[in-house]
Amino acid sequence: MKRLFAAATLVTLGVTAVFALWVTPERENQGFQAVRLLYLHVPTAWVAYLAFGVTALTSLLWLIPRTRDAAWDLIAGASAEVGVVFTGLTLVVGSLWGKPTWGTWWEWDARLTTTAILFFLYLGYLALRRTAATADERGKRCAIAALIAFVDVPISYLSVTWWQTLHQQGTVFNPQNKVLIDGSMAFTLVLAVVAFTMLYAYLVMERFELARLEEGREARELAQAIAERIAAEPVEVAPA
Amino acid sequence: MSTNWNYVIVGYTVVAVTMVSYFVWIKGRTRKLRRSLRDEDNG
Amino acid sequence: MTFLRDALLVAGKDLRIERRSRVALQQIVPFGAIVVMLFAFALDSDRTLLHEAAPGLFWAAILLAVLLAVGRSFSIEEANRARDGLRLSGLDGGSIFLGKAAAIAVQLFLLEIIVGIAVVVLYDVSVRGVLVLLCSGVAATVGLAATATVYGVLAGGLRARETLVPLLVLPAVTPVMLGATRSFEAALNGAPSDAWPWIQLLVAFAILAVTAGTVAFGPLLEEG
Repeated sequence: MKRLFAAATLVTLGVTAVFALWVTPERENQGFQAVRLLYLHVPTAWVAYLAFGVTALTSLLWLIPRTRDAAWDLIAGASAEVGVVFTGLTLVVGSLWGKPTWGTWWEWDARLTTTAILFFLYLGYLALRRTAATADERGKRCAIAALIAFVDVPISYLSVTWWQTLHQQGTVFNPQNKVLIDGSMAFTLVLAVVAFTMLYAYLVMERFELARLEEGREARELAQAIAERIAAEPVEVAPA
Repeated sequence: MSTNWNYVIVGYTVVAVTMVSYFVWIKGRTRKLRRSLRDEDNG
Repeated sequence: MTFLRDALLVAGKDLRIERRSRVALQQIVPFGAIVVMLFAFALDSDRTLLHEAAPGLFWAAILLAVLLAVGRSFSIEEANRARDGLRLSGLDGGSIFLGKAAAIAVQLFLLEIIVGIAVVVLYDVSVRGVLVLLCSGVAATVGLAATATVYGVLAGGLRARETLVPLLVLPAVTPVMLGATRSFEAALNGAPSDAWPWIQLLVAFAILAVTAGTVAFGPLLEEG
């Protein structure tokens, strides 16, 4: 089943690449090829927000005693890691888009700055995950850290409407509620978003598997250590 | 403006390489862990 | 109002420990002053540059000092199993949070005054818009102290606490850095009304941070 999904993801990504690099036109007025980077940048940004949303949601599910399940914590971690990768890519591809478009690799406007902060917030989250000793400890601390960090996601997304920024308004979701591009470009963008979302889901699945195995390994090592400890200590036999 | 293509090529390459590397890393560690856990069970 | 009374109790304890050990006075304040000097060296002692960047440099120094202060605030809990004592004391987690955050805030205020004097003298700044400076300063300090305290307890007892807390705190307090710097700029440039939206941001952040801390501190203290 997972293999089928992986294949489907690859196919979708492939089709997207073909459309993005060949079928769609360059931006008419400038002979502008760099617009093709948007078919990467927009989906990776969307996936990053999605990933951190999933982390926040699963963290919440873990925190609430009634819904607590160790799996939620592992999913939260997996999704956050994938999210950090996608955020990093968003910044890099955005930068590559920015140089030919605005003439600069970076601008300190609201959207870029809040996205950079997002990157570091979750980098800290990942560091926190690695230092906690027990699963319970990790679950609680990381859940709270994830919920705090998630506050930056809506701020980052809405920053283009709140502040006068260099970064452009949303292509689909914007205050004028008008779709700003059409034709093959719009189709390719939607396709790209679908493709990257599938990729996200697949990566999280695989990363979750890995996390599960790591948990199993740690539990086993702990049990081993305890057994060794018990064996090392002389056992008192109670007098009959 | 054919020099724009450079940015596009770099961008797509970076994304592709990152995704593939990440995937390979996950699979590699998974395989290693599965093997060592299996060895412990058997050995 | 035992809640507030307990908070004052905890704040008093932390401040009394500081009065006896004088760690903040003898270590954190000099640290702040050294950072101010460091910035001057970094900017090649360019007077106009320092003058323009003064608000940002001031708050950057305070931000770095907060990291030291929160590290100190939680390391005193680690000595002599004091953390267990705090948990067993029966005090509500929220009160402990408010108390610890308040103690840090008080120390921050004093630090800000001293570092502020250093900045005025060394960067050739003329003080104007005192009301704005005070309002934004208070809101910023409360936000900083609260956020740092939350992350302090979140990372408390963990192996890599000293390096983890800065990594966690600094991205989280960027709104404070932004709001405080802009407010100070507005005040010092003689356009205090420009600071108003930034002060709103600072106050909103402070309220959020204090609320989050009051709620989350108790459960987090139960850990490790």
